[in-house]
Amino acid sequence: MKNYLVSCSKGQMKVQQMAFVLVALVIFFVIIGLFFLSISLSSLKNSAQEIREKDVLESIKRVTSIPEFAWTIDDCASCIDMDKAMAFKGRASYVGFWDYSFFRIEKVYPIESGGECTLYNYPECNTLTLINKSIIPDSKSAFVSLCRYEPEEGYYKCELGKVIIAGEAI
Amino acid sequence: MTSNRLININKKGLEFTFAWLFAIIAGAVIIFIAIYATTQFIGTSKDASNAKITGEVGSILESVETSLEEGKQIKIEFPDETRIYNRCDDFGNFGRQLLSVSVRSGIGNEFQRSENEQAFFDKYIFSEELVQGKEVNIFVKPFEMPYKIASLAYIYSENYCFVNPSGDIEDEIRGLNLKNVNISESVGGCARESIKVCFESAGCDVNVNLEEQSVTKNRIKVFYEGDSLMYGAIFAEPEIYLCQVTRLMKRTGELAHVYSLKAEFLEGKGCTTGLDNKMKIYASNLANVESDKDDIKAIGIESTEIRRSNEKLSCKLF
Repeated sequence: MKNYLVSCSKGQMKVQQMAFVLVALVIFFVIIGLFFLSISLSSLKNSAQEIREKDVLESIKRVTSIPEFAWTIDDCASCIDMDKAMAFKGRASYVGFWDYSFFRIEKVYPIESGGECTLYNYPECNTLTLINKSIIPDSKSAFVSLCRYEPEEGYYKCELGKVIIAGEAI
Repeated sequence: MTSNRLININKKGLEFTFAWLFAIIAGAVIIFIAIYATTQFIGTSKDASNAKITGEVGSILESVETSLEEGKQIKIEFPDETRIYNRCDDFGNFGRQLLSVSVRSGIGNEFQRSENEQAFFDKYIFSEELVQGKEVNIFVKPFEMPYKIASLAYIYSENYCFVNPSGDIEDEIRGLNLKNVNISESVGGCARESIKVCFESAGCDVNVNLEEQSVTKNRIKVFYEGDSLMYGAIFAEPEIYLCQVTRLMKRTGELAHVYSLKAEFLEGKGCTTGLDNKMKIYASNLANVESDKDDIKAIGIESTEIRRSNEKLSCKLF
């Protein structure tokens, strides 16, 4: 009777040992799995960010050919129609149309005193902000010509400007 | 003695059975979890890889639109047989172009369709719903009505044979040097496997009626206005073509509003264009276009009138 009890608890010990080993093994493999998962997820996030940045760079290159801003009166590959951009500003239907968090057209030369362009101070103004969800440090910019109709002179006038675009953060 | 022996036998049996039972159950659970996790991981990896390639195709399209504005073609080569799924959604202010790519893999489902479709509001892709191949051809043409609205991208992987196209179309195809598009004087001169496109006669896979400005494909007749849309009707599935035309009409309407505002703006500067009202009427007519009817012809006539009025202006709208 005594023998039986002893050997019974030995068996239980073995089962417990096995259970602990199995649990330890499972935890070990889960940790390894999580480690690989975090590495692959971070590389996935990086490549998604790279693609997004590439898209923004391409967008910067083709911003002057977007019909909503393009200067179509003469052949000019790097000109923006500021009159059209002013008319476009505030069009509610375009919310979410471009995947940007920030889109601004800035006058580089000559600098005016007006600040942000409105219907009251245009064209004596410096910036036209079309999208301003958040300012992201890695925004991209390109120099362009900002063209408009000049009524007093009766001709089209172009000034030096730049476009600043930032993509949505991932 | 007998009692001792019995106890011994029972003791061994109890130890063996319980340990094995536990090991089998625990082992089965672990193996099941391992297999489940592995299949899930492979599926997710495939999905991620497909999503990455979709993003890259989107980037290529972006750069193609920039560099091939005037209408040229490029070829995309994939590492393995690839499917491009083109889906069009005309809901909302501009509708959406949905794109996903699936590369063939040797494990499980050969072509696992990515659940993460990439959506574009400013892209218009004319192709079959599924384009498959190790290499695909893309060419781009601007669409104007009467002002520039968008760049249209045409994607195809199969061989096309254009039978008796008009002189202009033939010149353009030769000028673009379109890969896998041949020109023939008769249907008999086309390669057997190619998709035949007839311009002056019927009986081909795709029949173009230049007088009526219509294209019949898969027994569905669609109407077009201008060469850009004609190519769209030839290369795209009729349902995709109609959806893209609806989206293009929506964008044209929104641009008409922008030009109408610009006309008012110029009027404030002292330059009367007289086009602000015309643009508003044009925008409201565009909102009522039904792409499956020949409404697009009437829009074409209206756009020509607007173009003529604009050309006469000293301060042009576009």
